[in-house]
Amino acid sequence: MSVFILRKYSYFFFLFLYVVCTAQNRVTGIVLDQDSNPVPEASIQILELQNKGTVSDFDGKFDFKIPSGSYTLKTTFIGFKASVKKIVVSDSKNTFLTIVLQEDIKELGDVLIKGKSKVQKIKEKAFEVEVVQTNDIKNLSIDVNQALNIIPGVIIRESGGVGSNFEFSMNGLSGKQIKFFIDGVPMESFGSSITLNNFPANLIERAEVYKGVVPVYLGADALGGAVNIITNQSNKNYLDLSYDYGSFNTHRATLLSQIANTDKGFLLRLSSFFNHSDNNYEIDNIDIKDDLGNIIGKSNNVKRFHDKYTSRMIAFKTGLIQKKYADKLLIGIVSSDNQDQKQHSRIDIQSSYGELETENKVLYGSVEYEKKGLLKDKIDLSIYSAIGVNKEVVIDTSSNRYNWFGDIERNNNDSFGERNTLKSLLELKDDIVISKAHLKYHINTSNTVDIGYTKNYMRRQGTDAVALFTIPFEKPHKLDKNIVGLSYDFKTFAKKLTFALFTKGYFMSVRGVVENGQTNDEDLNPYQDLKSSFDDVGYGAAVSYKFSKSFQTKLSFEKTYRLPEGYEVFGDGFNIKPNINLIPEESYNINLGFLSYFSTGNFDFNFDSNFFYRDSKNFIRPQPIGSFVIYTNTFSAENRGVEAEFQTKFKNSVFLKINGTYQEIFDSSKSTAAKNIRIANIPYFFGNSSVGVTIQPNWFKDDSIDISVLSNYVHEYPYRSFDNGNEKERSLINEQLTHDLQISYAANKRKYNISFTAKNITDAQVYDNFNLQLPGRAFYVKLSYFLNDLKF
Amino acid sequence: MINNKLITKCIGVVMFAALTIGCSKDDDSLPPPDPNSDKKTKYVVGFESTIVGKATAGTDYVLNLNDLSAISSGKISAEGIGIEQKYWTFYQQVNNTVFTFGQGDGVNSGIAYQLDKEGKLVAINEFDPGSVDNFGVVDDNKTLIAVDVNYSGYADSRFVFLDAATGKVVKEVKHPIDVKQASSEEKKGHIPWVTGIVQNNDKLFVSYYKIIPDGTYMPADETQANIAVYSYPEMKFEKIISDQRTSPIGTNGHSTGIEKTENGDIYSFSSSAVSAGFANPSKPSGIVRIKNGTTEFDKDYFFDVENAPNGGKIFWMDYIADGKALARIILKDEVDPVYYDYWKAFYTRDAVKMVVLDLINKTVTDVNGIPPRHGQRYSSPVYTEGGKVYINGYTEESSDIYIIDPKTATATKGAKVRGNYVKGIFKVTN
Repeated sequence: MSVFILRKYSYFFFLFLYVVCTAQNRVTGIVLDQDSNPVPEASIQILELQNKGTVSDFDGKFDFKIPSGSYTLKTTFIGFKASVKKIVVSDSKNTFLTIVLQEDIKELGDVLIKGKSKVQKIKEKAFEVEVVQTNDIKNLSIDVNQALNIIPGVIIRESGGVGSNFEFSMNGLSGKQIKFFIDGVPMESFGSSITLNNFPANLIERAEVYKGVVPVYLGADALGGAVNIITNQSNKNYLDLSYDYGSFNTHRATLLSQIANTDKGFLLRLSSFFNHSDNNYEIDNIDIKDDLGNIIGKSNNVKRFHDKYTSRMIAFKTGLIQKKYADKLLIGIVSSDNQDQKQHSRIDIQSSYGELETENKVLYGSVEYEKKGLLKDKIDLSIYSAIGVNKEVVIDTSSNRYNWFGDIERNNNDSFGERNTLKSLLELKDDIVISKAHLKYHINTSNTVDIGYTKNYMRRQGTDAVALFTIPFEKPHKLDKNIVGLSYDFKTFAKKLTFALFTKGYFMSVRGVVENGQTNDEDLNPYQDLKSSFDDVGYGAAVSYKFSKSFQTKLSFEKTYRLPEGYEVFGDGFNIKPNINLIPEESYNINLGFLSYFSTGNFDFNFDSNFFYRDSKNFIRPQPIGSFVIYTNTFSAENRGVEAEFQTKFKNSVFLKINGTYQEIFDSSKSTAAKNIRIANIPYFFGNSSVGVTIQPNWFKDDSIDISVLSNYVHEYPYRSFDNGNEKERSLINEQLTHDLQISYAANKRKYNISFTAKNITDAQVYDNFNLQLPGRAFYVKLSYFLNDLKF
Repeated sequence: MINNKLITKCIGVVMFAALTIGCSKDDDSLPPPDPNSDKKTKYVVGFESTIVGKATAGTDYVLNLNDLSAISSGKISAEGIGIEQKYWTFYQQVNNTVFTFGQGDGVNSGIAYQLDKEGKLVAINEFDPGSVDNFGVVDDNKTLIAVDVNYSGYADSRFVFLDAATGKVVKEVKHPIDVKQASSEEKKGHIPWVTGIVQNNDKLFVSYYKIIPDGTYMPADETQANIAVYSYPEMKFEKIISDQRTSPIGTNGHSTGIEKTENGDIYSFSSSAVSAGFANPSKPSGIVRIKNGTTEFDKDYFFDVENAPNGGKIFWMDYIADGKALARIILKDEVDPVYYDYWKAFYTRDAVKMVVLDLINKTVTDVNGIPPRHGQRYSSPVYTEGGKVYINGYTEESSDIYIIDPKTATATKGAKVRGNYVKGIFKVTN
């Protein structure tokens, strides 16, 4: 009888106990895998007490309180065998448990499914967050950008092949409005050689994508959301090698290796990538001109001849781990570079370049400190600081004019470069300091407070060895951006209700030298020191409520800012003029999401949907005025949309995933003629699907074959206007529909891997941004080798 | 890149074309109803739409309207109609062909439009014109010369010859006109910026001013007016003529810096305004003349518009007929107090007033009926029908077509423009 009552009312009973804080004993512990890596999000159930249980946190730790007695704990996590452990809890004595989960080889083989399940769990946070586990895709010929493109609401628009310019857009906000992080460190000052399209998926563990509402530990002026790339942070020894070769002479190699000795407390980590592609894919509709410029025909299947891209990165990290005073105390150095040939103008393929290229060089050193459980397990602290140099060079020094067939049509031997009207060898050198601190205070299991601080300092100066006249950024400007965040998080037992309330302070100062204007007055100092500063406060909240195991709803909101860049405030000292009256972009972002999960027999289903609303003001746009360009707060925009994703899997071996996004973005500038006009040249209906199967052929020990087809769809959208112009002649970015076939084979617990990818198997003509054509059919083969438990 | 598009505002010497039509082919411009002919006439309008979202300029459209009432009343809009242009566009007419010239990020697009047999406006040729921004109609309204000028750096100016009948580029001639490379004495040198092209019999006159080739668009020498004279059609450079009474001829982008009147005299205008790109003008804004048959400035003629009653500095001028020209006079000539910029008249919406200039009697008369303070970035070649001029003007509040009678100096409001503005109005026949 008593057991019956206890079962039936246990939840309330324990809630009551919890509230009055009597007669309960604290049980803390950690869930580890067989290599002593923490297992986050593992489910721990107390079999004797129905409805009683918890979930391990990101560090594998858990914490709950129960009355004295004997209990059976069942710990489960997908990919591992369930662990059953008996414990005895006695009065007023804290119990510490270490639960070790053994990998379930059979289930682990099916990483695709495993990844999704973990994703599902992280998605249950109150924030509108998506997680991409690279376990799913490590073995494939894919970079991080491509991995993120499958997220609902996200669309990455590329202007070409490997290394080409891209625009990451999330719920209609894009470019600098979205901020990127590596392990919580803002990447915004890093160079073009360390952008997401350079990172092969191997080098990262997962990516978290926060839509519109961003937690405070990601300190940035992220107007439209943030992406946090998380690398392998475990303290184990591993070696991960891959080599990928494919069409257009594309090579991608990665090396990731770590030696960690937890007894002696040191760590050594090396990671590196190399990317190269000739990008010599064929494009169509190239104008054929006579000597005078008359267009006399069109040429198809023209090979790109000046679009090679090469990038390299090497990162080295070493230091102390698992010391009394520090979980981690590491120093690191990163060096990267790229060379990027430009084939044509940014907005039109018809003018081809044969020599124009850009280069990037990055070097920075970092120090980081992390300690969890300070002050009697109350405080987790992490600090990071880096100093570095980022150089971007534009090499536009050729008088040769090339046609699309790679021939020099003429050489005017004048002062013109290929892109610029004056030859240029402009080098922009950015000196960078990035610092970040994050403190987490655990008031108790339900209540935590987070304080985050991020500093981003940059000094930019331009030099140009061939400039005849003015050099952009010859007078340096300095930008000092500081973001402070404070957050309070509350969760009820078993995370039925979670709640976060936060505020962020944005403080920035920009110092620069501006011209006093065009003047012939010799006595007047032509330059003037100027300082501009911004102080803004944003805030937000996120709440999630789990109605049942299979249904959850969440609502999140943030008022957020994007601070102007240095050049937007001060110009470039050349043809961009300063505007010290510029104010930050601001946006009200709201998400309302529904997550549902159900399972019948061998089938599992997930259906997630999110309604989003973005009301953004003071967008900064370059405005041509007279003889120059100035950045002004020109327009506002409103975006309403919905995104949804459906997933199903059968017996953990067949899966189907399909998602779609629809959005309508309107100009909402007050008192201009543009108000309520729908903004063109932004995809408004897009989605993707993947379907796959995993089988164990048993050719070798612990092997598996994954076969999947990934399809991407972007509905046609108008290039210049939704309303204007004769509908038949209105230019459109045509519908994009591509299918990628991916086949991979892994043996010996994923130690040896080979994969084959056929991208765009139908060889569809695909055009994106500004109607620039993307590659057709391409094939890639990738070999990779993972050694996860190196022993010395 | 952006600069290519920015400063480019022109008025073609299509005036001359209109004149030629008006004078020698009267029956073409006002065709009598001919029951045996299925000739169709359309009005082609160069239209720039409202700037929306993150676009930095409106989109240009070629609109094809059936009759004049669509311009003189109601509203002009590109909603559901019009042929989209790729980039910021200039519009020029030669005979029954309308040329469009677009400039993008180092990319240029040229299209020739004509009416087909059904009266539909169709592209008859597409070409790469280079970054041309000044134009002149020659060869008795058969050829358009477009000149590819540089904004910075030293290079030859490229004259592109376009045939009206076929819409094709038929010839290209290069000449430095008046380039001076930088030297130790004169650090920045100069390059020419063409402001008008007029053919008179076997001579071609090209007005220009000199700019410093550093990308700032600042004039290099503001003390005299300059015109290069070529033999035509040989395009052999003959000489440069100068006049010290006023400053360089023309304003940036406007191609009506020099124009020919009915009797073959050529008139020019000089702005001398800091709101129109001059830094230290010392000479008055005014008009000089080259008499028919000569290749020198007429020493006996100078119209000091700046100091005339009701006058001021000229921003733009276009000759109409009978010794009368329409002009926009800058109301307050100053360096932009906010941006320290010398081009205020190009981007503010209240910089100018409209006047009628009597070139013979040297009088300035305000036009009534058009907002006394308005703006216009790029005035396309003005369209004249029945002695009345159809022209766009905008204020902070609205953008409208005005119908101006130069004889009485009065204007009435025509169609409301549902977009940024109308750049050009042309009448074409198949």
